Amino acid sequence: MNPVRSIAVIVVFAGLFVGPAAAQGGPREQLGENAALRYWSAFAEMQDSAMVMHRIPGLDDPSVKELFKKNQAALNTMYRGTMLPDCDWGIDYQLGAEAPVEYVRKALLLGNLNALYVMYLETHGDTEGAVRALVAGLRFSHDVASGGTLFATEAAASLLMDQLPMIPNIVHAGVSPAQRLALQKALAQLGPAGLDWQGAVKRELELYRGTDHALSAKGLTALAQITPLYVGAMSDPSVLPRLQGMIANAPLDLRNIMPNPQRVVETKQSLENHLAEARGLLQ
Amino acid sequence: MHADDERFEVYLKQFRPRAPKALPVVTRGRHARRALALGAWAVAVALTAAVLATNWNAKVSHFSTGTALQTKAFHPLTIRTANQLLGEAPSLKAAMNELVLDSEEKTVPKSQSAFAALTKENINP
Repeated sequence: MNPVRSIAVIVVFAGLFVGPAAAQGGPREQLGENAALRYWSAFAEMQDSAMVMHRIPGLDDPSVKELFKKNQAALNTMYRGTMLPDCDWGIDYQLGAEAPVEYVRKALLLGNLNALYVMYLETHGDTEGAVRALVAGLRFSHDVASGGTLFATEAAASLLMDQLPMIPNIVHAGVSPAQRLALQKALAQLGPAGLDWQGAVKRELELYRGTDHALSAKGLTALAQITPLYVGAMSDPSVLPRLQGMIANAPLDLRNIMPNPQRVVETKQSLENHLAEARGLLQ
Repeated sequence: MHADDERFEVYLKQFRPRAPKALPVVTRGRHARRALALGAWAVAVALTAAVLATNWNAKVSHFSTGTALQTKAFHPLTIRTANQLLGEAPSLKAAMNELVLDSEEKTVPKSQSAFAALTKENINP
């Protein structure tokens, strides 16, 4: 083979191998920065985590210590995930209401386990560790709602409301300025309302347009009228009575699937109260 | 042998052909009786089934101490089943607890695993 032709063949083959790899470089880097993937790794590392949902004998019990020992890797993986800026759970909205959201169940377990760990560290005088675990836990809870529907957001709110009352205990026990700053920063990162309620409502109600819900034409028309009001209720609860009236008069097929706005608004307000209390304490 | 044949012939000759009976005709009355009997059986079967079903439900509710929520398993957890859970639970906290308690794995002893079972089997000829 003449040398020019040989070089040309080598260049072509090199291009075939290197090209796709180079093209994948960007998305792969982005994929590695997705906190949700770290969280899934943490879920896989969890052991006997269901124990946190049962009545435990006491924080000094050897079984509790053993539980934390077994789950140290899972907790550390979760902490590393909270350092990443983005969290995309990859919910397959093309499946409509049948989209799996098993991650929420796992997240509740891991979040509760971490909350128990914060208490354990705090009662054992490890304030530094307790603050670190709590800061990560708050961020993790916030990420649970990321890109999800109302259910994921309410689960995240539940986790946050379990952890925010721990701040007074830690602060009263005495925190360094650096620890106080870390807690303040963690609360600031949650945003004013703690979670993106409007986005969650939009994603939730958008699902109902799907064919799997098989809403009647009247149901779809009512949904189009209700959606902006429901989204608005997340920033202005005074529209709640009007919204409830519209839902009560909506066709039955829509009424049957519509989440109770009263419950959603109450959860949102409760979370805001918890946040305000914690922020006030840290100022 | 010959005497036997004669005796057998005499024996056969004593038979006389009979006039055939009329074919049985299914009358309306008989139809009605058969339908009535079938109906009675159907009613009896239905009653028995109803009694059994009632007793079964009573037994289940007698022994079940959990709430209606606890009898449901939210597997797989989808947006639909999650919303159903939220709609039925008395509070958000109750829904979340129910969800997490429902996650407890039904652990299978190692001795019952497919791998363990296969390794116990003598697969060599």
